[in-house]
Amino acid sequence: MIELTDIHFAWPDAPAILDGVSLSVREGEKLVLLGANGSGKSTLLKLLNGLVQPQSGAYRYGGEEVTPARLKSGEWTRRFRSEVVLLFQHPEAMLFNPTVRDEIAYGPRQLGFADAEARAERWLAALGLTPLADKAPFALSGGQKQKVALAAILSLDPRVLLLDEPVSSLDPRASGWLVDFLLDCGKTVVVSTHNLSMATELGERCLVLGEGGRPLYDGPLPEALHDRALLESANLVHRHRHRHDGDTHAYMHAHTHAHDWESSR
Amino acid sequence: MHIPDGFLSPQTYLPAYAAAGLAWAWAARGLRRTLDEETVPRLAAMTALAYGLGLVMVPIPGGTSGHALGVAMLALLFGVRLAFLAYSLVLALQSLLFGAGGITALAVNALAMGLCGSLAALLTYRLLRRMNETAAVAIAAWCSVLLPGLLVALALGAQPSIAHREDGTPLFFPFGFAITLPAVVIPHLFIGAGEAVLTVLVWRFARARKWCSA
Amino acid sequence: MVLGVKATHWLFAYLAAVVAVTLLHEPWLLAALLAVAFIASGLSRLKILRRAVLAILTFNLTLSLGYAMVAAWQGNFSAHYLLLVNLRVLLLAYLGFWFVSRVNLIEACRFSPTLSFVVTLAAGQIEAFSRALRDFRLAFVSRNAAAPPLSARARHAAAQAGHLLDKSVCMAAETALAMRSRGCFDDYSNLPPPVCGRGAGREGSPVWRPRRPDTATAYKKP
Repeated sequence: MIELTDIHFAWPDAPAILDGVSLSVREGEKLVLLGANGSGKSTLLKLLNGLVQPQSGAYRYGGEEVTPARLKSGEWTRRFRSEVVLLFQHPEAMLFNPTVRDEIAYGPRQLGFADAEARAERWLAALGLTPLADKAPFALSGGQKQKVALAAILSLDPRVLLLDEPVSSLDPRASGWLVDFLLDCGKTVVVSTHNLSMATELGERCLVLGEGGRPLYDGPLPEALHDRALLESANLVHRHRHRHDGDTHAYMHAHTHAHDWESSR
Repeated sequence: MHIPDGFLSPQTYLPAYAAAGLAWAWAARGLRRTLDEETVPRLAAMTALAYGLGLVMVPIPGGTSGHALGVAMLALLFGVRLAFLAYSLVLALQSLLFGAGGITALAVNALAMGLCGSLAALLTYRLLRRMNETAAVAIAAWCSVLLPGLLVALALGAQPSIAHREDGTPLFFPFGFAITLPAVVIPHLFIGAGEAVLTVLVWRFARARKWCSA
Repeated sequence: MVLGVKATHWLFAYLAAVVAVTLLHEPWLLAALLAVAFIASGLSRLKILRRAVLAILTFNLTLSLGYAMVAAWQGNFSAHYLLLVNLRVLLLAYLGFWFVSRVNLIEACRFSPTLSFVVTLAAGQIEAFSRALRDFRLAFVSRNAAAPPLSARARHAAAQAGHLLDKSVCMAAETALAMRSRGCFDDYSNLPPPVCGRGAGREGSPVWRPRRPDTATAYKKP
């Protein structure tokens, strides 16, 4: 469904952000992008959403190459925009409509779906946002904004969900709901995180990005989580002291569920 | 410097709205020509920035502090049109969203601070930058505070002669130029100095920064 | 809250009322209008009045005292003027706070999608900026046991301004991408309805289109 071949990307006069990324994602697959801050995860997701174009390499969606020329074709772009959606890392960037209801209905309205209002009501209810429907999105708390942004993309009923650090401002209950939803929704999901605990909840397969957007690993998630050298080179684990009943010791570890790392210690 | 509601006569603020309307059309047209899909988000971001800069407290020589104006910063970095529109929107939001008043004086405030302030900053900077860039930025910022101050003092000071009863009793702002000019302009000489220091520091930061890390 | 088209009507009614108030120069008329507004504004009238009085208190008190002294010295003091100007300013402030408490400006801007987007985005970012600046200020207080020197205050002001500048430039670029991601800059009005839905968007829905659709894919980094 998604095919990336040797993607290179850099802003003008700046070091590389993505350096030779190749990737193939099947329909319904859940892929986790792992990497430290600045490893190019967000840029890769924007590229998959057709928002930025690589300097070299090819991006194919559904067998068709995503090019600036193709993105100018109305019919194709409309299908692409409704099938591939991106949840931005900072939900504020996505909220520009007067009310929560308008925000959620915006995408379906803009793409011409006749049932835009019904979709908005459905997702308002699904995410428990109905009481906030007439409020301005910017007046909400961080977690509520994240939910509105999520509802705004889910209302398009997309096939591919691109999620940039989706649980960063959700409370535990909302995070749990999101994890369950993503596992059950049957959609293709590409989710970026540096939170290994989130990765294991979603995990089937992961792409680990190192510094400068170099791909370090692409394969089953559990294996990556047990590869200490890999996690160290991707800056995903670190060393600091721990105290247990008066005993202090230090070891390399990630902040994740105890069982994820205990077994390989 | 911000004029509250009720002190400007309709003979002043209605023509000011007409002039501001023309200036807004000029700025919006120019902006559409130079920017494309970023116009809306960029104008919104600059409006928020102009509002935020107004919340920053600038130290003024003598131990006190005042709110920054920031119009020189916006004009030097993003151009007169964007600075003017952003300032006008800030005034509208302050008045209509936060209830801070000043809707009748909006046009005069926008023309004085947003348009004349940015034009003063940009022209001064262009005139002086060959001699010394830092000094040019500082003087530009100082002028961007002083000129609007002067214009506001003139607008207020003209009220007793523009709108009064037959017996000479004022109907709106009661003081003439003899009081408004020193009362507004003298403090702005010092406020301008604080603004100049702030603008130079931010100018250096902005030059060194590449704005957006991906 | 007044919603939809009504909000726009309220906006224009408020603006017309403001102009009308500045055309009246009789204190008794302004006092009568203030009384009407006070009665009409419902249960929140006392709260609105309190806000209005507090908002104008410092400026009007200073101006009134200044006028009283100067006019007494010049021998042309007029109590009528003092009453007129204070009533007018209070009435305008009252109308302003009444408008703000009843009408959502963002709703009132629906007549122009572009204006509606700009105002919503700006209001959201203003909220975030105000929060950030509050933290900046608290952090500065917490790190300064004694009164900070002028240079430190200047550097602190510059750090705040720099932070805002940085954030707003990033936010502008990011928001443009987020808007494009949901098809904001594409014009589908000439296309047949999508397969899984029928008809175009709701009439009057806030759909903003760029002036030059051909630039829709030309992302520029600031």
